[in-house]
Amino acid sequence: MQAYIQHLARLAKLSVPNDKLNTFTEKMCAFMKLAETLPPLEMDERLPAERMLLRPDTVQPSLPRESVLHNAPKVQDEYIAAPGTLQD
Amino acid sequence: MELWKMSATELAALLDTRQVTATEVCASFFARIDETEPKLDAFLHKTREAAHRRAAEADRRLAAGEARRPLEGLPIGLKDNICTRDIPTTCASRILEGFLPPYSATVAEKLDAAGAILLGKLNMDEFAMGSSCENSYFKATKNPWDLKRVPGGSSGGAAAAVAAGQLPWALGSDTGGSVRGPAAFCGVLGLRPSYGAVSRCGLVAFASSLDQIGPMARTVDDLALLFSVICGADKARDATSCALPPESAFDPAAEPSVKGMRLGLLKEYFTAAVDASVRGAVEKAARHLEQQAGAVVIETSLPSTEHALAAYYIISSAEASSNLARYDGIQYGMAAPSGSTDPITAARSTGFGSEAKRRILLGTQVLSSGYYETTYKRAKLLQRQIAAEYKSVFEQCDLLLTPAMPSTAFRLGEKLADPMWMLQSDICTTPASLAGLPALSIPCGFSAQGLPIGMQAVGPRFSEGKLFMLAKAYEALIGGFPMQEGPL
Repeated sequence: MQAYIQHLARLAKLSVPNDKLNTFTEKMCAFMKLAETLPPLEMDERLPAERMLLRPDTVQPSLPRESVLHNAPKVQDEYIAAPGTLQD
Repeated sequence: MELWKMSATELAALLDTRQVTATEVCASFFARIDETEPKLDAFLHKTREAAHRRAAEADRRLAAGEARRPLEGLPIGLKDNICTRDIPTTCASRILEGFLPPYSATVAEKLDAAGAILLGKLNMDEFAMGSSCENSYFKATKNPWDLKRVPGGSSGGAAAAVAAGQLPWALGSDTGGSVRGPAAFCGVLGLRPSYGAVSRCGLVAFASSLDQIGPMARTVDDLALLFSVICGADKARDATSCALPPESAFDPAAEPSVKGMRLGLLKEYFTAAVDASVRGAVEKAARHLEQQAGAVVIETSLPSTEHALAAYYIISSAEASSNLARYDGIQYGMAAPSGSTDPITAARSTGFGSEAKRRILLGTQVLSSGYYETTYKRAKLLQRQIAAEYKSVFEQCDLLLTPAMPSTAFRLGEKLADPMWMLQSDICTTPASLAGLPALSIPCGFSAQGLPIGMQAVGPRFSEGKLFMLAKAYEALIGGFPMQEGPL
């Protein structure tokens, strides 16, 4: 289970320190126990269907550049600086 | 009477007749905040200077003979997951420490346009994940009725502030019970509106299909007034928001009456899972409404109630894992510690607290191949089943009455080590959340330890007016809801 939690953490871009691993495992197990109580249900077409609502796709004014850059931890030449993903 | 002890509606009447000024109102509430905040810890950020400026502006307008806007001169506080332009909004998380939103939530804009005066941002469980307000990165808020106990969560700061008279009212947010739970623990009214009744634009997302902003207050008239200001369609910014139909309207001038109203007591909520003192208080309130006000009490059932909690945690964690993926320490919020080889993982691992991490991991799991069919899909089907059961039960009843929380407020730290207990604490509130229904927590007495007890009234979608009517009739029957006026 602990290796599985570390795997989930990597997928979610998190790290779980070794000294917290036991607590995380215990809490995850408690949750899984709860999730397993859900009964299997057949899709009943009489039940109300999910509605997917989307807002109109229209051009709107964007946020002011200064206020966006103000919140970025690292700014370079009026751009948000991000870590490189490609190497030489 | 001191101004901070008054309801917003009473203060509005004094402002209307120019018996007090907005500056005096504001000063009285800040004096109460200064007196109680060192013990209560309800606020994360106070906006004292801006509030005094706005109060002076309101006084100038009123002195010039301009008409008073609906909330003009009335103080308010907002849970710290409601964006306020250029005012810190942290969601009580380290990852958003120092974040200044470049825009305001629709509700904040509406309050501003109505003339309300923001006194500050209120503490909460990190990203609204929790039932005790102990998951805040910054501090734990205390319950004004017993400072050794929690105020409930996640809108614990808002509930505690309203109960202690730091504010006449406030806005919280409710995903699985985060307005109703703390309202019950602190002895105030708390409404989770119908899904879509209030715009979510600018509410930092936890579980978007369940999140709703809701008002908290000490009188029904205040609660209904605040709701009337924040509700309504906002299609350009929140596609799920909608205009309310006429039946959700509430007339504060009308005589409150529940004569002939059919109130259903759901038998699934009156079991050993709920403390006997809470069950007893809710049953007593129902009988009171029946015998003294002419309501008709019916015992009824919602069979899928026992599975609602599991379905709620699966759906909300799945959505949370997706919503919280945006925090990368690059665009805004906390930066990664210098020298990190993987800055995004480092920022997220340092910035999120344990509860947020746990829910992200749960969400990642339930959406992963192999688990999706047996957890997420099953939970979504159950959600539809619960909505159908509610629809059926509302053919027999006008409103449902249940406990709002399975216990009274517990001691700080008492439940932190018991993950199952914390999960179970939402047992009464999650079914209505899953069905998108309006639900109102109404104070209905105190335990032998002097701790508030809340009952929950649930109605069909957009039946807010009926919920207010029931609460007002009960308020009149018991002579009003007490506040914590002491020095703490």
